[in-house]
Amino acid sequence: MDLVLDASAEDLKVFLAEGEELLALLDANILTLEKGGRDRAVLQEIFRAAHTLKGSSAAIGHQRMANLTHLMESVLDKVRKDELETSTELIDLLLECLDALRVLHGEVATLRESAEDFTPLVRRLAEVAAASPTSRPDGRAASAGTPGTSPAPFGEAEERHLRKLHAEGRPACVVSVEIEPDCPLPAARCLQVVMELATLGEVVSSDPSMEAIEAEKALHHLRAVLATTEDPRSVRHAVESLPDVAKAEVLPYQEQRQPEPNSSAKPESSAGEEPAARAAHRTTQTVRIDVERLDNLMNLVGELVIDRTRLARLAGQMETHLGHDGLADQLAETSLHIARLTDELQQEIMKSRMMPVESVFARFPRLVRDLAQKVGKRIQFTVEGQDTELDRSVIQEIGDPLIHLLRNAVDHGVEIPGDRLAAGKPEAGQVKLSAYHEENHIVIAVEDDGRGIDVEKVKAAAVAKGVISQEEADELTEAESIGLIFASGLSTAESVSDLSGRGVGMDIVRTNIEKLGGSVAVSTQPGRGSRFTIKLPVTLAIIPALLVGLGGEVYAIPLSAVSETLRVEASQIKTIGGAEVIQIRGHVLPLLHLRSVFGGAAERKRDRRVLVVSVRFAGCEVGLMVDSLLGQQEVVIKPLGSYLGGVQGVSAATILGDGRVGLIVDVPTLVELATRDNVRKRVVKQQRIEGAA
Amino acid sequence: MRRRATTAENQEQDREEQLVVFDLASESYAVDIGAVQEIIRMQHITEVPRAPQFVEGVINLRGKVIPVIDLRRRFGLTEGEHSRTSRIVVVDVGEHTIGIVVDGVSEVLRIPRSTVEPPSPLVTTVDSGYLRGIAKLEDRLIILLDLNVVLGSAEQHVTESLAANAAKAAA
Repeated sequence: MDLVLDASAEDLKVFLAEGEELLALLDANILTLEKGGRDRAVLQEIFRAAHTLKGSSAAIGHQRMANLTHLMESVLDKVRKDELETSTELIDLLLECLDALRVLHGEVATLRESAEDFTPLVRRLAEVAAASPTSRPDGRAASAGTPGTSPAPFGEAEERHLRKLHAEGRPACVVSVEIEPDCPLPAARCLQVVMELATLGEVVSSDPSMEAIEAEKALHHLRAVLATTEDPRSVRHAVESLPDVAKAEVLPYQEQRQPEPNSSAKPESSAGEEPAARAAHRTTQTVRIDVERLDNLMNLVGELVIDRTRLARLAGQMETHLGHDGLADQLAETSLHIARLTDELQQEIMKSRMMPVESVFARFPRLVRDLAQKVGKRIQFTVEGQDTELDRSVIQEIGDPLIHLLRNAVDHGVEIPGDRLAAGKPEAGQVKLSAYHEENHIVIAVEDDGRGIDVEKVKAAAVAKGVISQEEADELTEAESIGLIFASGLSTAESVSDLSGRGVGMDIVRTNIEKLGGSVAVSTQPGRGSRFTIKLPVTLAIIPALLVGLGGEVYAIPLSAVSETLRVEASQIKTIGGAEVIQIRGHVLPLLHLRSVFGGAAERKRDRRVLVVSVRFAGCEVGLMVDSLLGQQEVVIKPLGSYLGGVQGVSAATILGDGRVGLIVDVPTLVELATRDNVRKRVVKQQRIEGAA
Repeated sequence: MRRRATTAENQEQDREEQLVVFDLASESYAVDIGAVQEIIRMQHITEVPRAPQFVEGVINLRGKVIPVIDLRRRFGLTEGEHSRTSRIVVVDVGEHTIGIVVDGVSEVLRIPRSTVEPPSPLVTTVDSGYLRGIAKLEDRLIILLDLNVVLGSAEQHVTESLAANAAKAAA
């Protein structure tokens, strides 16, 4: 069934974006509430978020969502007033509400009502909201620092205005006005109220805003922040004497004492607190921008970069032709300045595409909590480095691999409480997710203090599943054996739980990470735990590449995939089972004629020397034969567009320094092409034979 | 030369058509002006391996990489060399921006609809599926192309060529 809303497309867009943020905030804070009990600040944050959601969903006409948030608000109000305990049941109820809100929020995106029935949840909420206050257990002292009761909370924006006025030494209050429900022109009345208030002081802000009132979008409620020296009672009297005003309330502002920050820096800093505080701080200093606009900016800057290179070249040529003529000098100087400016511009634009990993990490605490509950483990989950920034294109892709690693840690890594106690470990397992900068890439690590990876078991499973033979297994080093967990088809979980254990996970994790130009490594200590370390490039949009010449065209090979470049004698190339290979340092490297891969004739130029670029992917190495090496360069990735369909062997395009298009080589596809099973097995066998000889 | 269709021009749509006319293998073809984004000089076209046969490659259009097709190959006409007058007509079809290599662009024409007749296989060698119609002017015939059919999508082309190959094999 279609969802009918009363808002423009622009309004809906804003609603969706703001809603996302609020839902994430709620998620983080509800979990913090569970851990920390009755932290007043957290409760207030949750209340505010629910309140804001209620307002905006009502404004667009999403009745069911407004209704649900309204009931949530009532329940939360009770908690705030200490009339309800934050029991596990309450937390579960709140989380259920959150899930429901997510669905309702999603309805706005599709404009279709979901099939879910929320009436049971709504009923339960109503019951809890109506229940008589539970008796407060002893020892729960009233929390410090709450000001005189404010019947309705100050909205965030209002708080800001009020605090600012307070800092300026101007007394202020919030005027809350109700217009008679049967008033025919509520907007006109609102305007009258505002004008009346303006005679009493300065109307710093109003909700609905002046524009909304003038556009006649006002409802029957009005709240305004009024800076005034008048007595609150006289303000109220003045407003209530206006026609059609049902009720007015004037709430003077008293500065709320900030609740004491948790000074004992808990080693496991809960993920919830940081985003809550930071989000409140951030809303005042950001501008929301369409991602498309950023991409356009990137494109424009990319072109600027190309032209400035040309300019520099031309300036240089002028100097050669005209010598150090005054004009040529000035041109050179200007060109240099432009070069510096474009560099800076490029840096800034790239930085603006960066997002803190927090946006990906935010969902994980909940995930880990639910997972742990499901498999009956106790988990202490900590997150570090949420501010670390990644390009948005990487952020989009890194979520799934991380979820998989976290699942593994909870499901396989950490032992059940009984086993942990028996091993002398604390009952709750530690799972830590951290992110930090290192040189010019980002490191994300997932660690646990569980049972570690049993190398022998992995090897045995690999042999049993036919991934490798017993002889091969015997010859593997420890590092290589651990690396086996990334082979597809491998799973050492005794039972295939529905979370993991199907054996297709780890190889996909590594593949996806390598596709992003990153790498993943694992270290483990039996009985002590494991650590998965992911290294990622800082941005995907611009990558360092090796430019090569091939048949008159220029191709770019992502540098992250290149292990080395070689110049080999044609005589060193051998043929095994129809595939060309060379031997390097005792290692056999299969070769690929890039030209034949790309559909051209494999012109055997019969050169004595052949240029080979060795690339690697998913643990396999392949040598690509090219005509010439043209140097290293940072290239801006340009998509090829959907018209061409998928081009085999080519992942995208780039604009070269001379304005021409260069194609970017798709290393994974090429590696797969060259290392199809039968070829590889033969190659490995040959290597062993030669090694024994 | 670059233009965009404006509402003023659309006013006359009911009775007139506005076309960009170009030459290809000695014949005159035209496309609706509304679809033409711009016309640019020939530039280096980067070959794309294993692309459908009539796709010449890709070019850099102010930072965007767009595919360029060769109508001669698409229509199965004799291949030709690019000359000084060759141009790339950049068109917008659906969500795609694509360049078409032509021998030369001659003019922009306004013709009354009455002069357009349905395509007839007798008049031209080009498969009539690609044509919207034929404009009969005093001194010549102009073949009006249906860009949607001409360009289609790459997958369509792959299936088409597979089907064509299968047909050939069966024959």
